[in-house]
Amino acid sequence: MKKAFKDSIPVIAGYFPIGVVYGFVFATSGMPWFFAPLMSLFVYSGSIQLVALGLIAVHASYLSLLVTALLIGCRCAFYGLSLLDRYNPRRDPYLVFGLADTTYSIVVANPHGDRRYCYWLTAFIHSYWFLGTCTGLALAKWLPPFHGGEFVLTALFITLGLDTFFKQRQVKPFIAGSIGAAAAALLFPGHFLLVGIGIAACLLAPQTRRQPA
Amino acid sequence: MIYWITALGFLSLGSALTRFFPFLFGKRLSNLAWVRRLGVQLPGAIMLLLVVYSLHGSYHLSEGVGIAIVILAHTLFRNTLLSIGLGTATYILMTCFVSPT
Repeated sequence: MKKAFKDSIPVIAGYFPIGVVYGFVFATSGMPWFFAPLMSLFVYSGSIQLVALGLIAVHASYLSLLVTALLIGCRCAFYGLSLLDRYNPRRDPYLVFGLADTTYSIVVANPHGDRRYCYWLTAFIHSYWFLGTCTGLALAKWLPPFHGGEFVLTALFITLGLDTFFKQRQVKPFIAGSIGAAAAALLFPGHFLLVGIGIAACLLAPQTRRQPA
Repeated sequence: MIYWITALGFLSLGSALTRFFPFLFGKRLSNLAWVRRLGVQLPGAIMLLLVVYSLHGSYHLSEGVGIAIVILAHTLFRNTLLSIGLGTATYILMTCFVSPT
């Protein structure tokens, strides 16, 4: 538990403030305040929760909420691959559910961490996100709302995109994304994300000579 | 109220499915070359689409400068929190004083 707490400390700087932002902008969704901590407990994904605020505000369909969550979350869908022999989803569903970006990277960086360590680590990081959300809700009560806070979301996606670029040094995903964005904005602006990601996936999936898998 | 509770359920389901996905199908799917390629390359494309989506069709000087600051700060320091903070602060100041939208 001690080591789990120590390893999780750097994550406070990352998840707590974004949790605060989430709690702060939560009111834009029109939901009662207590849904904010519930979202952070049961959805536990910053990008899904933030994008969903806008969708819920316009009463988007359940299907579009689910599809959006799956598409945005799909970058997590490959985390588990490197933990297939360490995590047993039937015995420890919470560990799998709690595989956020940072939890994953710390677990992978500690190949000898046992089950207890993983549980503590996951719970600590989950709690930073949760407590950040509650703090943001409280702040929103005291501070007047101001224009411009929504840019946090744009900035978050830019940093996540740049992180993938720094790791892989590939321009192709961003070219495919731009083509998808342009085509979706022109043809189906009402289903921008779904169509855009679909087009990008079709462009990236086939084998090309320059980019062997 | 029912809409919000159900919405929470569907979002939770979507988030959980993406995290359980590799444990349910991983061994079979990860052998397919195109699935592996998408796993590596699709996140970058999705992030770019999310950036465009999050702007809601509003392309002013403030957005442009904000985005430039985030890219610059992140390239230089690779500190997510710093990049987001600098970019958002710049954006808010721009919309207040330079080019009100």
